[in-house]
Amino acid sequence: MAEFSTNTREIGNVSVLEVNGYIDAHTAPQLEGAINDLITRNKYKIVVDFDGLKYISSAGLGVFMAFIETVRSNEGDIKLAAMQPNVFNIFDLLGFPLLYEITHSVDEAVTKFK
Amino acid sequence: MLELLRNIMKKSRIQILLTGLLVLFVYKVLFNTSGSLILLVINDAIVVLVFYYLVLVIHELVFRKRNSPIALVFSILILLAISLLLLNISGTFFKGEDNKGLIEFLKNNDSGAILFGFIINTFIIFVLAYSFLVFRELFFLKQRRNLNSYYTALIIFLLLSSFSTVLDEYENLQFIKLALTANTIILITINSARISWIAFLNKKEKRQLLGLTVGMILLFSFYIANSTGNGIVYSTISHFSKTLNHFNLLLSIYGLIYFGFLFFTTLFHLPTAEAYDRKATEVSALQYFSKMINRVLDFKDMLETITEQALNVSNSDHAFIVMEGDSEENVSALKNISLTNANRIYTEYKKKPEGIKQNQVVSYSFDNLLLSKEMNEKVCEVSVTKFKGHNSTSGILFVSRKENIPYDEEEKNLLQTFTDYASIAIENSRLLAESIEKERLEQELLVAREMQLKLLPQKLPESKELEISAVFIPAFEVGGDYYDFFELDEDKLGFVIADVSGKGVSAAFIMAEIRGVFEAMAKPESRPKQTLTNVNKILERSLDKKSFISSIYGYISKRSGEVVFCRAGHPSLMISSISGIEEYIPAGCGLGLTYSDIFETTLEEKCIKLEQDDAIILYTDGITEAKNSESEDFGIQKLKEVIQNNNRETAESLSSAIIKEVTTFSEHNTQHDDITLVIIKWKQKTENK
Repeated sequence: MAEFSTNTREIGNVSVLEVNGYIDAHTAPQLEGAINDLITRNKYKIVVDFDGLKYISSAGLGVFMAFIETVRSNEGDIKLAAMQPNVFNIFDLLGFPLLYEITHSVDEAVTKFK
Repeated sequence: MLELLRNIMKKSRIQILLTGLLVLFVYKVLFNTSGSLILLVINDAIVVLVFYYLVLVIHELVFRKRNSPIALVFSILILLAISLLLLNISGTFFKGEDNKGLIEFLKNNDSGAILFGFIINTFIIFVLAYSFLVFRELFFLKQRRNLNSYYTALIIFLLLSSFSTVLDEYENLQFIKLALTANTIILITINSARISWIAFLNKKEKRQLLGLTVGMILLFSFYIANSTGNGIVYSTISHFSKTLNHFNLLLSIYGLIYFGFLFFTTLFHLPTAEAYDRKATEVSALQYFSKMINRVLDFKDMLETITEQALNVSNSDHAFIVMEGDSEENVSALKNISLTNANRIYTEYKKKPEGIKQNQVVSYSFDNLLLSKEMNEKVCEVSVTKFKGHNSTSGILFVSRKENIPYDEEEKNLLQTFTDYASIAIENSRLLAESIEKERLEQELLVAREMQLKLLPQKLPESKELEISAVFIPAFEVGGDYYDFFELDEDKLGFVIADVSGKGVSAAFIMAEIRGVFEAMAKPESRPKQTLTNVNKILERSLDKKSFISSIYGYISKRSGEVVFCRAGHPSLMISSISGIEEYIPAGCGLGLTYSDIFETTLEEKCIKLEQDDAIILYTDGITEAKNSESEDFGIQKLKEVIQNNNRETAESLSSAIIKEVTTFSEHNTQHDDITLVIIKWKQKTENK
């Protein structure tokens, strides 16, 4: 199936989760694992870098919803950054911008945590 | 017709045979002391005829036993011995030099003599016919090539040279008989070399055969010795029929040569017989094993089979298997060994520094590892093979010997082959399990699909002001598309389109749920914003965190053409009119995305006044995300174009046009998601005219 990979890096106390490729029902568990990893390490300030992401399906969107409550109740947040227009469209149509902070660049999202 | 004739022939064989015998007897009574050539020829012709039918009648007897050559050989040995005994007994009755008494007696026209001669010669004919058939079966046994022509040539010469004896009276024609006989003997010698069947005998059978051939050679030698000059055989038969006598002689020569060949060949085969036997066991073990594999047994049963067979073919005393996983080791399929002792051998093996790779056989010599003091049981030699097991496990096959006989290369190769088979079998069982799982999933999908189809409206609402079309094309994997209509009151028709996140049975369940919720919440007094907010609140109780539903809910007033709707995260609602297409994406997030007040506060309600022949177009992302062979999306733009080009058509034709365009676009790619398209065309004014 479609390829998918993640990579985590730290900018100050913010964790940046890079997502690359395609997120669908088959690769969503991988994304889930990556975010879960951050949370078990008590990293609640998360920026997801969408720069390398080509497509996200509803199963992928569900992953963010699964964690947002826990993250926010621990004074953190999941901010979504650097989306391609077509990916943003999917988030936008569903109304994610009403509930999540979506920024143009990773830096912008990181500074919003300060 | 021919078939019928053949059947009659078959049935009447015995009658013909018996008639032949009767004729022969009468003939003997009439012309016992024959002199003329004509009478001799007739006599021998009758004998040949009787012989021929006897062969046909007893053919079945020999044919049935053709797969046990030893038994066949043994049966002629017995018959031959009996006939020799009979001849000699009858010989002793008549005193006189060189059986003269007997010859004189047989030449008598005495009825007793005729009867005696007839009976004994009939028996000899039987023995010859039987032997002839046995030789024939032995000749064709295990022959791969078609040797019919060789055999036919032999028979022709055999018969010709036998029959040529009727010319015995004429001294100057003797060369014919001599030439034919010489040819026959040459052919006999050539054909006697065809004895490949002894290679297929096991050691025990070869020993038996060797004994039998010695007996046969002795008997045939004796027979031949008595078939010439004034021998007892000659004396008895030649008076009865010269042809029979010569045939008897030739067949005896055949027997002598054939069994001579057989004796030496068997003798030379004997030393290799054991090796051959072992190879045969190996082959049948492997055959058995490959059969077992295809039946894909229970994993445990299969391990049992491996050790059992390994024990047989590798000449080992004990065998067992250890399955090594990531964390655990499991000793199983023990053969002739206790668990404790198996564990001891395994521990001993693990002490060895060199590890063992997959599909490799390693042998170790243990310094008399004592297994049991009472039984004085030791293990000296151990051979170990590793093979691939389930998932990440691997199996190790242990075979061991009490005696200090190392495992040779051949045995190791065999063990290797065994474990190769085991790996294949395990892989097979894994594939089977997978395909069962796949089938189960497909079954599940089928159930989900049926559920989904039942949840969709079976019948569209009808009204003179509205033209409604709804198309639903399921994808292979059940998506969660849903649409419905509600007759809110006489004027208002509610409509909903929704797409549940995720796929499969869970999506179908959620679909079933929202259908009930919408049915309960869609009321004429409730504005779409209120309805969707209520639906979202109810879903909080049942929807899991990861699931959400995109939806558009609204209603249309049939009289005024007013449309009120809200969009909860769903793709746009489009209005197609003569002037163009308007796409509406009012704010609103998907159901289940949040249960806080944000859902209600951000949800925007839209109110549109339709013109005559305006159409509301509702769709799911199955349309816009339909993919072509280059994995490009169909996209919103193409959708708009199709709608634009067909905006004067009825709801039904517009719908077909869109679906046609989408399916043509994506015909070289599989449909990933459900496709739903709902079109509601308002045509009130036209109706009024």
